[in-house]
Amino acid sequence: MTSTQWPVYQVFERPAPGRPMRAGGSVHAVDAETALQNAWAVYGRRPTAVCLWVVPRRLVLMKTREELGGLSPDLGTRAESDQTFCVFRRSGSKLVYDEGPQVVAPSAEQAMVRAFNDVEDCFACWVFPSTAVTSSESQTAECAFAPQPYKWFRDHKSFPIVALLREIRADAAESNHA
Amino acid sequence: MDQLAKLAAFEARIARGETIEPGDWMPDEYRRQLLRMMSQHAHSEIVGMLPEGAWITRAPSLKRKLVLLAKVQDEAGHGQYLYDAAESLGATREELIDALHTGRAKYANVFNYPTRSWADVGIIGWLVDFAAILNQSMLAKCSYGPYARAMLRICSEETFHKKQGQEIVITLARGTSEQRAMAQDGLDRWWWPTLMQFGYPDSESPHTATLKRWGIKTKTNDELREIFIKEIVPELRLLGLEPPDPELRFDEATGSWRHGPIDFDELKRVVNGNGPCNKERLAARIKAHEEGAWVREALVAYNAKRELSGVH
Repeated sequence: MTSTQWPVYQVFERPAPGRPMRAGGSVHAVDAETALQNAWAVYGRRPTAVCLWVVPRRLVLMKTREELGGLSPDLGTRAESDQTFCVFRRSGSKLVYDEGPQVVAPSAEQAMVRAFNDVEDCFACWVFPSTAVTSSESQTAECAFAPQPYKWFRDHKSFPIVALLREIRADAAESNHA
Repeated sequence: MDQLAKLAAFEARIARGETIEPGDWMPDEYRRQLLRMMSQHAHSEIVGMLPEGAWITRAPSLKRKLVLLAKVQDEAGHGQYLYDAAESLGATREELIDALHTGRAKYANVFNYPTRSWADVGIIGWLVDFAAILNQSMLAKCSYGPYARAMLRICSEETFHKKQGQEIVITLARGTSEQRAMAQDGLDRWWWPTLMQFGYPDSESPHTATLKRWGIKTKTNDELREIFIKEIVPELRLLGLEPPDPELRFDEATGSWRHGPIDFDELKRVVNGNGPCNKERLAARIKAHEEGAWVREALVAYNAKRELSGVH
């Protein structure tokens, strides 16, 4: 029996055109291409996601304020040259990790500290190199599923319960009257 | 910091309404209870695909077939959201699935009953999903971030399931006498299992106090059950349907609903593997997992081959 414990890919979604990305959840997949397909099957069906990213979890640095302790900007200098990092933060009373401005830093740890320092009420933060993203909008990523912004089965108008109940109550009132 | 000071700091965070994330310190018992709840919940979603899935080929119209297909696929997605949340506490997917397939894991009692008619699909969508919504909208406010986020996504989808189920039952209730009888028969068979779905009475739920203090639950099983009855009974009666409980009545004095005794021995039997369909459900899950093995193997082989040839 083959192992099913494939690598985990974090899934990020754009809920509507022009809106920032936000964290959705995760999928397991052998590679980024199948991760993107799995992500469409799960995260792009009912919700109206218009774009999805998948990022290998091993490349995502995840820290909470508690884990980071006192925020010290001095984490030592790293040998790597500067890279661009994507930042997702849970701040204020919000429950979801929202995309913040990208940070250019020599390491993920330093990007993390900067991302925390940028906003006052940040509880938890994820950072990863922008090169780690496989996007459904990429020209090279193969994706078997196109975004489906309209789904009739998620249109409340398809299930007019309130109107139906009103009709039934009116009928009942009429027959009582008669 | 010693354990007691950490616990005090943790409980202060909960009291302030903060949400805990996987990297934060948490008591072992908090972790254990959450893992138990999230894995049971994930398994329930996956097994929950089976009773309704049985009606996909027999749905009475193309529209109803599409709605049902989408619903069953939603349940698979809910399982995925919840396995993801459970994995955030260190469980692996393989351990979770293995626990289900070897009968060690528990899941919701309701999915171990047979779906005998099309009306059952409506009754499940309306009643069982509504019961789930009450529990899940409470958990969407729970103190553990990954669980709360999974619940938020699930609740918005379950709202559709409830409407879709209710619409099926309304259609039957306004149909021929045979259709009305079918709806009543479905209600007769699903009423008690749905009430059991809320779990054991508060007097027999030893974890409730701790779960409430740590912000995992905000309402008890009996409180949720009461809300369910209060909401659903008038809507059923409006359609001329009556729950199979001669003792069911609204008590004007207390402003609450009284119902007859719930057979919690039945709940215990069903949850522990001895319900009408437990064996059939597990066998179906194992069969699907084994028959899908070649797909997983092919993906691994394809990926290995590409890595060898450097195409990536």
